[in-house]
Order: sequence, then C-alpha cells, then structure tokens
Amino acid sequence: MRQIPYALLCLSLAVFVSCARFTPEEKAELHKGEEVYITHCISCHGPGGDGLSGAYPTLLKPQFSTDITNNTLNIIRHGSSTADGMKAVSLSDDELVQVVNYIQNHWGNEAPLISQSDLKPSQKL
Amino acid sequence: MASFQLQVNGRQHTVDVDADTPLLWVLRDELKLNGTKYGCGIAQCGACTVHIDGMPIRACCFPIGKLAGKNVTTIEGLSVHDDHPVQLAWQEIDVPQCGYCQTGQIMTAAALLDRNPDPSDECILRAMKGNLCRCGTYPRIKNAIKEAAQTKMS
Repeated sequence: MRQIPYALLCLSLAVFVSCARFTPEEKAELHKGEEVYITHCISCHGPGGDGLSGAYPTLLKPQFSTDITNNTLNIIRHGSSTADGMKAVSLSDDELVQVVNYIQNHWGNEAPLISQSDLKPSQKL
Repeated sequence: MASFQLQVNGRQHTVDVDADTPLLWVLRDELKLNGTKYGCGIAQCGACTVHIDGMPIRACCFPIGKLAGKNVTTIEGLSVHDDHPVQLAWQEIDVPQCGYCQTGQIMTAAALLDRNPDPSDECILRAMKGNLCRCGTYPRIKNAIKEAAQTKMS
C-alpha cells in the first residue's frame, strides 16, 4: 500500500521537473519548433519522432552530443550526403534553431537548448 | 506484392501493392481518389498533403506498408457536402488560380485550424510554408484561413 503514494510522488516530481526545465519564453520557442516540425518533418519522421523503420530514421536518442546536434543542423540545412537521403529544408535561421531544439527536447529527448549564436557560418542562411 | 488494409475517409479498403508503394499512388491509382495531387514526389511541395490521424502528411513519401491502424483523410473525405469551413472560405475568397496545389493547401489549412482555431498571421505563414503555389495565391490563402477561423469560432 505504501508503494502507491511513493509512485505518485515520483510521477509528480517527474512532471514538475519536466515542466520546470523551461521558461515560458523557451516553451513558446519550443512550440514554434513544433509547428516547424509539423510543417516540414512529420511526414517522414512521424508524430512520435520515431521515423519509419527501414525508410526514415528515428529522432529518438538517449543523449545528444555536440556532434549529433551539428549533424542534425547540417542535414536540415544542406541535406543528406547520400543520394536517397533527406533533402535540404528551406528554413530561416530562427526556424532551424527552433526545430532542432524541439526535436532534441521532445518525446523524452533531452539536450541543452541551442541559439542562433551556436550556428556555424555554413549553417546560417 | 502483398495485401494491405487501409482506412480512407471512414471506409475500409484492401489493396494489393508492394509495401513501399507511396500512399499517393494507392489513393490515385487503386482507390481512384484523384483529388490528392502529385507535385514533386520528394515531400517538398505539399501538393499531395492528406491527413493521417489528423496530421498533415505528404502522401508521396509515405509507404503503404507503414499505414496499419492509421486513419487517412483525403480532400474527398474532408466534409460530406464540400462544406468544411476551409472549403467554404476558399470559395468565398475565390482562392485558386490554376488550382493544382489547392487540395494540398486546403488539407494543411484544415489541420492547422484543428490544432489552432485562431492562428496569427505568423502561425499561418509557418504552417503553410511547406505548401508551394506557383500561381502565387498566398495572400488569398492567408485571407481564406482567417475567414475559416472566424467561421469555425462563430
């Protein structure tokens, strides 16, 4: 019987920590990123970010390194290096940052938020 | 070839196609639902937009083999009497010029209003950016979405 209140406490704490991670301004930016995702990414990577096995890769990752983030920025901006891979997506610098932050902080993904100052010259418009 | 069951516009269909056949060609060639258009074939123009479980999806790149358990809505199923608020606003504003991209535009607009009943101009531009129109009907598209939003809220 004592396990139920403890589980509820853990769940409440998890929800609180998850909600408290971002300021209202950051949440607004992440929401814009969600709209960019729906417009440009959801067709292949899916509403759950888990892609389509054998066709489109998952965006769910246990952790994000700077290399992974840079790779994501490069692929969105310039397209995949493989012939059948993803095509470049026409996004403003704002939208690029917003969608990468959304991808890396949704569906259980967690990563530090990036800003336009993190974009390399080749990743800017 | 394999047999696939799919739910389109509330009706169950069975088609015999390869698993990697794009949904677009199943809709057009197998089910004869020709309202959904082929534009670029690489999910870059939005002409083939349909709803899958309510979200705007490019049918040209969605393999039929991944559709199990999902509900597809095409322009033919958006409303029973072509009277969805977005469709009525499209008629009221007289949006189309050549018309080719318009079914995709309407499906994306309808999905936007489902998740945001009162979108700002910025929201509309952001949501519609993936739907290209070579006739340049963008101003009328934006006005029609605002008109449809007002109708839905009244």
